[in-house]
Parts: sequence; C-alpha cells; structure tokens
Amino acid sequence: MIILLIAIVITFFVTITSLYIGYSKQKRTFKKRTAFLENCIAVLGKQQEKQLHQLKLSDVLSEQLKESNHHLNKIIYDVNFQLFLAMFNKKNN
Amino acid sequence: MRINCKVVIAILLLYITPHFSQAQTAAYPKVITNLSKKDSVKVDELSRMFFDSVYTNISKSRTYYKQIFTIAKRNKSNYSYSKAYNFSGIICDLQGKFDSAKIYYRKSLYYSKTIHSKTSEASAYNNLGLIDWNEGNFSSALINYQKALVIFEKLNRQEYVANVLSNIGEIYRDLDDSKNGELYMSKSFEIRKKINDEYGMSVSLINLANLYHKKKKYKQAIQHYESGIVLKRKLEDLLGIAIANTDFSVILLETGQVMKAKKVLEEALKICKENDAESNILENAYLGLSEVYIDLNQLEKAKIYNQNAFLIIEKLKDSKRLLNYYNNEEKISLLEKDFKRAHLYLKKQDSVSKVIESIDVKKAIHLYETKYQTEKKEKELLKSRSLALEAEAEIKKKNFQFILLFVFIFGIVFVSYLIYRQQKLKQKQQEQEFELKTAISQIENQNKLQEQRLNISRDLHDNIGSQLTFIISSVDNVKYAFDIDNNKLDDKLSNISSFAKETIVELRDTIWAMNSNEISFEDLESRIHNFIEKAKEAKDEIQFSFQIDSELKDTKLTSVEGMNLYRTIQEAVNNAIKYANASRISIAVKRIENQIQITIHDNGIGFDESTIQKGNGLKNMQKRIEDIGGKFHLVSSHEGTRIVVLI
Repeated sequence: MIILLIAIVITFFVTITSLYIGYSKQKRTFKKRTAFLENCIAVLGKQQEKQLHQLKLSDVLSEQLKESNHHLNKIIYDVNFQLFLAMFNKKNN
Repeated sequence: MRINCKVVIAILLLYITPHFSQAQTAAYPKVITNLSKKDSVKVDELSRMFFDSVYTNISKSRTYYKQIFTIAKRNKSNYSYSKAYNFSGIICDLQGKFDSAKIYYRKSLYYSKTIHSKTSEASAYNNLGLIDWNEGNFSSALINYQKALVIFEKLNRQEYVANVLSNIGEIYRDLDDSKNGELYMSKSFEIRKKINDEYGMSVSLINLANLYHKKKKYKQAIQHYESGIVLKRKLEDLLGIAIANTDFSVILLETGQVMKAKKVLEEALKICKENDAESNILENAYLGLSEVYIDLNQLEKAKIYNQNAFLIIEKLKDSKRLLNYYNNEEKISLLEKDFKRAHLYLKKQDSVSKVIESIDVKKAIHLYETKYQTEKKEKELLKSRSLALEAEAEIKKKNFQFILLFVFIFGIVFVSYLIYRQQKLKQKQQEQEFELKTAISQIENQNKLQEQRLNISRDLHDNIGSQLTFIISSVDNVKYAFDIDNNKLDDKLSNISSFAKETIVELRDTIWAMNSNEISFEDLESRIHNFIEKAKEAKDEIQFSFQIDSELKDTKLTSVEGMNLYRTIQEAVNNAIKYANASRISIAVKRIENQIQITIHDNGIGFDESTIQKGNGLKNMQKRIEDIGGKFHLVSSHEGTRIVVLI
C-alpha cells in the first residue's frame, strides 16, 4: 500500500512538474513570438505614419497646384486677351 | 527456599515511592496541588522524613503521615490526601494488615485520579499489586501490575517500568512459570542496565539467581548470585548482602561447596548481628551454619547454631523452618549414633510434614485455581488485545485508503486543472497571435495603398514640374524670339514665367519634405538660408539674421511639422519684405522649458491689427501652426511686427 501511495505521489509529482515546465515553456515561446509581431507592427506603424505625412504634404501640394493652375489660367487668359487686342489694333491700322 | 518476601516488598516500596513524591510536586502546579508553597514544601519534607523512619521506627513515621493528613484536611488538597493514604497503606502493609493497606492504597488511587497524577496512580496500582501478591491473589496482582506497567510505559519512566516488570517476573516464578518469570526478570534487568540503576540490577540478579536455583540451573544461579552480591557490596547494601548470602548458601550446600557456604553464612550472620536485622534472616543464617557444621562433622557447633535457630523459630511459629530444625537435629543424632533421638526427630518431622503438606495441598489447590484464573484472564486479555489491535489495524487501513483516495483525487483534480489552464492559455495565445497577425496584414494593406497613392502623386508632381519648366522655357523663348513692344503683353509673359518659377520652387520644397523622413532644425536652417539668399538678391538693403540654439540643431521634426514651420517662416519673411518696408529681419529659435519658440521679427512699419482684416497669408500661417499642435501669436506696431510660434 505504501509503495502504491509513493508510486502515485511520484507519478503525480512528475506529471505536475512536466506540465509546469510545458506551461512556462509555452509562455516563453509565445512571449518571444508576440514580441516579434509587436516589433513588426511598430515598424509598419512608423512606415504608415511616414506615408501619412507624405500624403498630407502631397494633398497640400495638390491644393496649391490647383490654386496655381487657376492663377496661371487667368494670366494666360490675360495674355491671350492682350494678343487679340494687339492683333485687332494691327488689323484696324 | 529461604527467601524473605516481605523484605523484598519493603525494598520495592521504598524504591518506588520516594521517587513518586519528588516527581509529584515538580510536575503539578500549585492550583492542582491546592497547597501554598510553604505547605507544599512541608508535605515533601514530611514525606522524606516518613521514608527515613518507616523501616526503622514505624511509630515515628506514623506521626509524619498524620501531619500530612492535617495539612490535607486544612487545605482540602487531594495531592496531600493521595500521599497520606499511600503512607498509611505502606505502614499497614509492613504490619501485615493487608486488608487495611489495600483500602488505603485504593483511596490513594482515587485521589491520584482526581489530580490526574499518572505517576501516583501507577504507583498505587503497583502497591495494590504487592498486596495481592502477598495475599497469594496472583491474578489480581498481575492485573494491577499490568495497569501500572501501561501507565509507566506511557510516561516513559524506565526505572518504574523495570520495578513492575521485576514484580511480575517474581509472580510468575511463584506460579512455577519459569519461562515467563525469566522473561520479565531479564527485561527488568536490561532496562536497569540501560539506565545504569545498580541497585535495581543487583535485585534483578538475585531474583534471576533464585529462579535458576528453582529450575536447578546451578551454574547460572551461582553466576547470578555472585554478580548480584558483588554489586550489593559496591553499593554497601548490607541487609541485601545478608539475604543474598543466606540464599546463596543453600545452592552452595546443594552443590557440595561447604567451605564457601560457611564463609558466606558467617558473613550474613555477622551483618545480621551488627545491624539488628530481622529475625527470619538470622534464623536462615543459623540453620544454614548448622547444616554446614553437620557436613563438617563439627556437631557441637552445629547443635549451638540449630538451637539458636530454634529460639527464633518458636518465636515466629515458622513450620517450614521447624522442619529444617528437626532435620538438622535428626542428622546430628544419627552422627552421634543416638538413634532413639534421631527416630524421635524423624517422627516430629513426619507430623510437621503432614501439617505442611496439608497446608501445601491447600496452597497448591489455591495456586492451581489462581493459575487457571490467571490464564483465563490472560487469554481474555489477549483476545481483547488482539481484537483491539485488529480494529486498530482496520482503522489504520481505512485511514490509509482514505489518504490514498484523497491523494489520488487531489492529484487528478490538480493535473486536470493544469491541463485545462494550459489549453486555455494556448487558446488565448492563438487568439492574440491571430489578432496581431490580422493587425499586421491590415497595416500592410493600408501601407501598400498609401504607397500606391504616393507613387501616383509623385508621378503627377514630376509631370507638373516638367510642364512648368516647359512653360517657363516657352515663355522665355517667345520673349527672346519675338520683339514684343507691347508692354502689357511683356509684363503678362514675365508674370507667367515668374509664377511658374515660384510654383516649381514650392513643388521642390514639398518634394524635399516628402522625401525626408525627419527634418531637423539644421535642415530647416539651411533651407531658410537659401530662401533668404534669394530674398537678399531682390532686396539687398535688408539685413537678415538667423539664430538657433545649438542644442536644438539636432531636434527632429516630422516632415509635416518641418514643412509647416518652413512655410510659416517663409510667409512671415515674405510679408516683411513685401509690405513692412523693413530694414532688418531676424529669425530666432529657442527652447523655453519644454517648448520650442520661433520668433520672426522685423523693424518695419507694422500694421493695425484691429483695422486690417487678416489676409490669406496670415490665416494660412495660423492654420499651419495649429495643424501641427502649436500656438501662433502676432504682435504688430509702428515699430515692427513680431510673430511668435510655440511648438
């Protein structure tokens, strides 16, 4: 009986110890894996932030270019108008 | 066998009880003994005095135990009552009043139980056993001894255990059960040897010698007598030596060692005379010496010693010793060839023998009855013990099974819990990992989309840049190829060229910012310097100054922050050049506490903030700064304009 009890206790002790070791090993492995994934997310986040800044600047520039386009159109119109005026005057003379 | 049982009992009583009295007060506090310290000390002192006098002066010892009774009555102390009754019992025992002694010992036992004094209780059982033994009530004696033995063993009082074992051994010897007798006596001797109790060892050796003598094991008996007597000599136990010598002489005479027997008997006689020993020891010594001198054929001396013995025998009315006396007289008469006298003593022996035999037959019947009862009780005791042991074993087995079951269930539950926890953790980890991977793929997708947008916008900007360059080049070619005399047209063409150039500059600045991941104040400084240099070309009378704290040079800004700051400074400087008519423009970048302060100051004409509506330039500046989380302040007076940006 004593031997049986000792055998049971030893079996449980070994099982519990191996389960504990497996548990902590699993935790450690997962920690490493998540650390790698989190690092990836951080790198991608930085990249995304950079891209967002670039896009913002691009948007601002697009707005400015629109305004410039509008202004340039106006000037070209004035030039055309002056050219027509000059041609008209030349024809009349 | 000329062994004096009463003397042995007295020795054992003397041996046990003083120890009890000393241990008692030490073990029991005042509240249990119910005595003041003074009375407690007095009781112990009276106990000691009692034992000093009880075997020499009974009347004196009686006064001591009466004083203990008085103290017990005064204090209602059960402890004192227990002692007093124990002493009363001892006195009655010594006087041969066994019935009274038994009553007193029982009372002592009762009071011992009330004060929960186990030592005292066991001592009372032992004394009751002695009384039963004296009365020939062996089965009752054995029961009382067993009770005493159990208690002393529980208390681990080895010296008392040895005493009780010795007493039990002697009962078995009297019951002619030599095997058990030897077993108990040997156990007692071993314990006494272990605890180095020399007096006890000497008693055990003599008892064992008597046992071996009874079994006719002469060699072992002689060895034990000799060892016992050596120990008694060492302890100077004179009375013990005398008793042992008289017993020893019997075996010596039986084995034909007459001279040695003479020597030990003479020593015993000398001790008896010098120490006023009890009559029966003296009687034994005289009878022994008479036998010795008969063997040595010194009949006169034999007669004298036999007559001396007879005087004591008459006094004690001891039938067995009378038989010895007649036997000696018969032998002397035969050696003197006085056959008539020899015949007379033979007849006397015959009549005494008949009386003794009738007594012996009665005693034998009583003995066998006792033996039968003892064995019956022992069997019952053994049966109940075996039943108790079986029950105990069963309980132990059940307890063990329960423990086994508990350990097993606990183990299973614990292991299940651990497995469940591990699985749960695994599931949780998988979920977390999936979430992280999903987040990564989402970010990656977003980044790809943004990258595509950026690529498109870059292509567009490149295209616009080249188109603007083409426009500038075309306008300049037109102006150069055709001699344009129309001033207005010429101005308009110049306007197109300069506007396109400005747009290209803006485009390049933005692309610079877009391509820079981070912009430092040092980068910003060199960019602003370029801009100022160009401005100087237009207005060379204006003095420009740019100051930046050296510690801020390496401070990093995001591309948006850097671009917005650059545009704000550019706008402020342009305003100062175009509208303020300033001769000096200064730009300063400083750290104030946790913030960076950028100040653009000119000494121009300024403007009235309340009257002049804010134009696009001012609004844009404020918006750009607020977009990057900064604060924009503008202060203008006739002494100049100051723009302060805090980020």
